[in-house]
Amino acid sequence: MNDYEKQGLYVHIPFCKKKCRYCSFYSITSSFSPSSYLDSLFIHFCYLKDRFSFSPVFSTLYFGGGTPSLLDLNFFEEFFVKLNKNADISDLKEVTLEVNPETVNPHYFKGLKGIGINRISIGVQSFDDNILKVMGRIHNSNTAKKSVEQALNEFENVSIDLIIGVKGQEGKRAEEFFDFSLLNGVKHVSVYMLEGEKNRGIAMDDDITANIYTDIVQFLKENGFFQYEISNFSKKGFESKHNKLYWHGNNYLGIGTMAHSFILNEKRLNGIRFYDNTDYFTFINRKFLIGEQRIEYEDLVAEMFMLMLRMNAGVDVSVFEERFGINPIDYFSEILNEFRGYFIMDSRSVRLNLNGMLISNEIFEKILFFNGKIRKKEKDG
Amino acid sequence: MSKELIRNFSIIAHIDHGKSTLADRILEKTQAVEKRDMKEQILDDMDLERERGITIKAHAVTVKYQAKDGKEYTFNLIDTPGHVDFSYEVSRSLKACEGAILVVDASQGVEAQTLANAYLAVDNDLEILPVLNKIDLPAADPDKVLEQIEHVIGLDTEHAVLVSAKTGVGVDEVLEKIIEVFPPPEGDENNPTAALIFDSWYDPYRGVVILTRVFDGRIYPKMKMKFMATGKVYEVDEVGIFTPKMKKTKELKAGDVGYVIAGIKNIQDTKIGDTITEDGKECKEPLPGFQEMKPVVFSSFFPTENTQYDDLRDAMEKLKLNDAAFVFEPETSDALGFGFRCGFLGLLHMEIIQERLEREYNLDLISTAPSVEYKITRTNGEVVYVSNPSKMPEAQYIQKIEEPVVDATIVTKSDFVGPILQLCTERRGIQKRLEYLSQERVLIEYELPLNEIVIDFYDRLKSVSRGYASFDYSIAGMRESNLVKLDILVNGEIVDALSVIVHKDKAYYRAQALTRKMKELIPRQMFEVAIQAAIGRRVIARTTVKALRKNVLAKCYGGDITRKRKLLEKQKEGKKRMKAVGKVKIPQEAFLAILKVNEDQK
Repeated sequence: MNDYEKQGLYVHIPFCKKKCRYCSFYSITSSFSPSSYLDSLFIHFCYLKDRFSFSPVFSTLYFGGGTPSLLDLNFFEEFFVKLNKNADISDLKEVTLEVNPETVNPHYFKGLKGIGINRISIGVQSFDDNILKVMGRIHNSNTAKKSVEQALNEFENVSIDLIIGVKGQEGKRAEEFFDFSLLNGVKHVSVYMLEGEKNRGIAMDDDITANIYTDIVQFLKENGFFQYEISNFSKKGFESKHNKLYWHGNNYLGIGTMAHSFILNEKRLNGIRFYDNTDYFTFINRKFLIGEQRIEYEDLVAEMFMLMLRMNAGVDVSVFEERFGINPIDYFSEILNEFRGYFIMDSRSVRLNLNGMLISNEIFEKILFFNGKIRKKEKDG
Repeated sequence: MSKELIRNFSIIAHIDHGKSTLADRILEKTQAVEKRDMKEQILDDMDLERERGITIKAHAVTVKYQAKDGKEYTFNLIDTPGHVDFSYEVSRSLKACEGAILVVDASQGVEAQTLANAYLAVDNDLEILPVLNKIDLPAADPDKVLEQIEHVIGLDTEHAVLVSAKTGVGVDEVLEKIIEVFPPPEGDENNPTAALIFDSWYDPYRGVVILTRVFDGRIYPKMKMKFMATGKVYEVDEVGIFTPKMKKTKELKAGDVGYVIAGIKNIQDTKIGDTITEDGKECKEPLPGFQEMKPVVFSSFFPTENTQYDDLRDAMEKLKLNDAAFVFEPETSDALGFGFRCGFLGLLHMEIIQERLEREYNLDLISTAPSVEYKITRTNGEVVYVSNPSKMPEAQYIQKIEEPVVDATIVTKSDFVGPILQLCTERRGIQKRLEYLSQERVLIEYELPLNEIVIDFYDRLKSVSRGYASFDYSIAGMRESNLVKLDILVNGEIVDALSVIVHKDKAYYRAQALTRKMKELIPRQMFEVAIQAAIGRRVIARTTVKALRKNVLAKCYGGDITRKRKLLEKQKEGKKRMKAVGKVKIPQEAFLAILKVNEDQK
């Protein structure tokens, strides 16, 4: 199987103890019933599978939220029993669960491992209590640290999420964003710059955020974490397999309220994105409202190029040409030229440098709305 | 019908004192309109008028009134525009009447427009009937307000009527007083025709409709009528009155108010204030007071997209069909490309036109800061009029510059006198009068340069008086001033559309404030943008918009891709609304930055 034929399954768990100020994901904070939700998840799964003729073979699985770690172990046990009946997971390589530091304990981690979870992503956000308060998180730095230690006792592959760009972080050095004692064990770090536009009240000045980000990229590199995407860093071999599917244009199926899916038709060179538009209460009544967006060839090429540019590896020209029948360096030459200081490019690949990543929305805007007229080449077979 | 049974009158008032409501009640009482057919404020028929609560065009309605003396009277109620921009039209409408009802809010008292309108009525020799409205309000204080009317305006309040146009109380008395106080029209229908045009508009089906008051003689179908100012002759197709619907009549004769239709295609031929007479049987002289309507406020309009240039011209041509006071000519700006220099009667007139272009014709416009017309004497003695700062001759060729000044009237609460005097002084005003109307109300009169008024004076006045100030003005002539042109440079290039004329003593401060505001309004671009303000070649202020450093979506997983698409679409749309000047994208608001400079940040 080619790498880009691998498929991922995303499961959205829309439950939270409390909404965080900066979060745009869908969640509810009271009166939820995990068992009804679990039943609905698989009805949703079958519905999507039939309607969009999705072949249910998965190599990665990701529980995201919301706060998946609010759920008991038996939820996940039952989930796997059901999944086994509905899908081929014999080649499942990576199973990630997002956890909130406040909701876990050693017993819980042990249990998760026993069920088959093999990667833990912890929403630490910050090791600074003041910052956690500003962001409206329910945990403190001590809990955060403890939860990472507990996870490391059971799991080899532990990732932590951090947010930078919050007011109050001005003047901080890169190392102050991390807990040194944990850096050795942790294999993966995601560093998210808070969006200034949406979070006027709590976001720091853009220039300072950009400087801190640049410092952090360097700091992480010195500590063995290599950047592989705008916001993601890992030790060798510990990149998130599931998340890379998104940026490579692989297929993924998302189940649960507000979950998104994407199927690429390699043969006809177009794609379809579909997503659930139902709130939780409608969802558990097994009524789904599916939004659908067809992505025709021209848009597909643009979107794929844009997504791949998020990664440090950038776009492999020959692979891109093989998959989409077009040489992206030729096709997008106008944009590559306009922003030439922001790209690293040779005949085999093109990628963004760090400053390019920082202003990537400017470049992506041009790519997404590029109107170079191209004709779709029908692929054989 | 005998002229003895006709009364021609207007209702004048400060905004929101209830002019339109009283007009509605009068129409209702005279059964011109069935109560169930009443729309709120029936005379304001244009959307914008209704929305802004301001009358823009004049209207005239003819109604019958069965008086207590047993006779049936004909009332011609002429509704006047309610804004200082249209004061010439107001004065012409008043000229068509023998009397005016002066409506004053019994709780608020005399305001700036009350004074201005009352003076206009006095100037036109009208009888004035004071009507105190809103007496149903708990805060109403009729005695005090009557005192103000006597004392401040100098009107006799013997016949004053207390009403509530809302509840209808007192309206019957107003109707009787109209007969008692206002004289019937004079004039002779056998004299040569002399009729005043007090408004006109273009109807796409019937051509120009003229509103007129006949002073002498008659107007009737087939008559050859002549406009005395333009010399144009037309054959009358139809005459009639408004009931308020148009109703054809046999003729209009001395004392009557009504409409005339004569297949006229061009509204420029029917100038407000002009006299209609009979071709070959002219009256001796035109009715007094005719003036060409001259624009006093100027601004340039440019389409955001160059491709909309033709659409913009077509739309403006259409608006002009109905608005003889709106003038425009093509203009080319180095920065903004092809557009139009436009002249207006005032700021409101400008805003209305701009809003209509954007709303009714769906155009995206960039407008430049409003300016006035300067009289410039060159060193060689030649006199030129310049209304566009970018066309100002270089300083070494200018001997003197004169600018238009206005007489401004402000009525406010005594608490705000200090800040208002300070504002007027900042705006280079000369105090003419300061008078306490009562313990807490003050009348302030200033001579102010018009160019200080068009730059956000009214907003500033509202803010320093917390809304408790009414304001009116009239053009008072020209005054010599020490003025300079302030240029704005973006990355070293003068952006002609951003040039402004300012007083020399204030140039430094204006330059600072303006560049600072521009910095706020111009979004960061892929490169650094320098903004400078200069007089001649001398740069007196500078700011920099730093190069964009960060615009990134941190999270882009499965569900974020749709969101990202939307976000980038929005980003792109935002840029479309900006104008590229060289490589720099400048948003629409930046061209009006001078209006947004807050003087508090001194």
